[in-house]
Amino acid sequence: MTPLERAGKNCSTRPRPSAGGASIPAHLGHSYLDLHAHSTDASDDAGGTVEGYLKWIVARRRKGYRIDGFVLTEHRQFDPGLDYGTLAAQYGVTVLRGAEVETDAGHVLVYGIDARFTRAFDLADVALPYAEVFRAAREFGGFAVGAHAGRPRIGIAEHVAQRGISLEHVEALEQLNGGSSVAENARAAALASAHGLGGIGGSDAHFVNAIGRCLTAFRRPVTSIEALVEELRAGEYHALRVEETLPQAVHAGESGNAW
Amino acid sequence: MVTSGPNPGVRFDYDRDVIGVEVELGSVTITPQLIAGYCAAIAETNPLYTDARAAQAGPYGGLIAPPCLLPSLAFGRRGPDPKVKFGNATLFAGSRLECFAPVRAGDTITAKTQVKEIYPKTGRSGTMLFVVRRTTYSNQRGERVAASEQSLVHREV
Amino acid sequence: MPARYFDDVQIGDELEEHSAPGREDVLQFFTATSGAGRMDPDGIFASEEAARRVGAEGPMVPGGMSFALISRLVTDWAGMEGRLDSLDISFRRPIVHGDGLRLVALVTDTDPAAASVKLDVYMENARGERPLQGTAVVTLPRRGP
Repeated sequence: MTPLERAGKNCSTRPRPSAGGASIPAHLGHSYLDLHAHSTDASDDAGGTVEGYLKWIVARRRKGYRIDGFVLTEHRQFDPGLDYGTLAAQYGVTVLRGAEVETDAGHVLVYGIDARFTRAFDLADVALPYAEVFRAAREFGGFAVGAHAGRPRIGIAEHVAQRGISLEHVEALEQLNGGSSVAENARAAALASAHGLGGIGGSDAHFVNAIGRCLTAFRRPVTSIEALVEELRAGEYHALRVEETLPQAVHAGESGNAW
Repeated sequence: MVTSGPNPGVRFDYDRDVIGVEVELGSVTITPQLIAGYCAAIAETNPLYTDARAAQAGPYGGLIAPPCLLPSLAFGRRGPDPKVKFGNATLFAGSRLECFAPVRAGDTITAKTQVKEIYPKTGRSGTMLFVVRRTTYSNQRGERVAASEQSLVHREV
Repeated sequence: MPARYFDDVQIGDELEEHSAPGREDVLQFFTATSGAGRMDPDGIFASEEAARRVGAEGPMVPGGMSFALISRLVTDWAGMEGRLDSLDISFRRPIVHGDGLRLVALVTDTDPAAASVKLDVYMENARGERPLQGTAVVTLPRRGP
């Protein structure tokens, strides 16, 4: 094999900064959360551990990026007993928990799950009734979002285009998904825009380096699942890429909001 | 022979009896020529694998093979066949390599393989059936030098 | 080849190469591993038509070859004194002949007790997709006292 371009960025050596995570300055009221992540704890296709994500976020912060936390949305399950609070606090990162369930119109991220939701639906089912999932999430005090909405089969846009399904109970889509192509994200954003839906950002991280690549910006600090649901319901958020959190970046998210 | 999947109504037919049965595939001598041809094919430049003289002065005192060579090689016989009857396409889904000891030029490596597990899963491409094979590699002194796990996915396209 | 020392590595370090393996490269890989007949019984790595039948846009680069290219990225970075302990790769989308690929490895964790380094590795195509992702563990030498 000869036509390989072997030149590339190589590893640079820098002095080791002191250990410990930089916490969020209290005067900055807004927050940036990655609303879609998987870990080796519960997703068999993931290679990233929760602690690996935390270490990576601390390293990213040292380079000037702003990632305040992430929501673990493991595939097809929700274990109410799991708590990452102590570990997360060591790194000064918020770790919340939701789930990614599978419906007959693609995957759906659900936040604020309680026992009523897990009684109503078998989370392991790969073809839950999508409209019911969106409706029940809200009824039971949570919030549901159409995951990677622009992806074939597992995103809702294709089901809208091909089967004309209703978006009656759908309030938000993941319009910036770290695992989707540029075209797939554009398709999701176009659907959200056409129907006046909210658009969140999530990395869909399965591996450490992906955590926080795509984020959702909120007006207030979001450090609990209740606060997250409240902010999502209020509709005051927008999707952005992690590069947009750099101090020198113009803080204009994909929705054009700036804060 | 038949197991049910996560989708009610989807049936997976395969031969369960082969799971866990280890079979010797054969042996290959890792000649310097074999290493050189492989290095050329992947544009390898690490002197450990490409430069006998430099490798002589290196940590192993001689030329060794790139770690990814073993899982790429044909060892003669094929492994046990679970005779999967599902889907119309079979693709590579995953590959894992563990390295325990260097493979030196001149070593004769023997491979043994087994079907480790078979499981269904639903994802972007609909329902799929995964077949995981584990292969271990030993040298002429009986030392285990590496192990690989390769996962094939059977699905409908 | 410069040595890579554990002491100099930190989380977030990144290395990157570019590659666009094509038909000739795939043939050469099969020749080198005497594997064409064994590894491509369906012709998906050579034939446009066979590849389309399994949902790819053209003849594919075999998984074993992309695995080898990522492995090489890591072992070259590790230098002569470094050692690859494990490499674990998932293949998520087809890589088609001629796809312009970025091969990336990022240090995600370091274990001072073992002088070992964990890396995320992936390939990214021009569409921003990551057809291959995984992790590697490498043990590196320490600088002398």
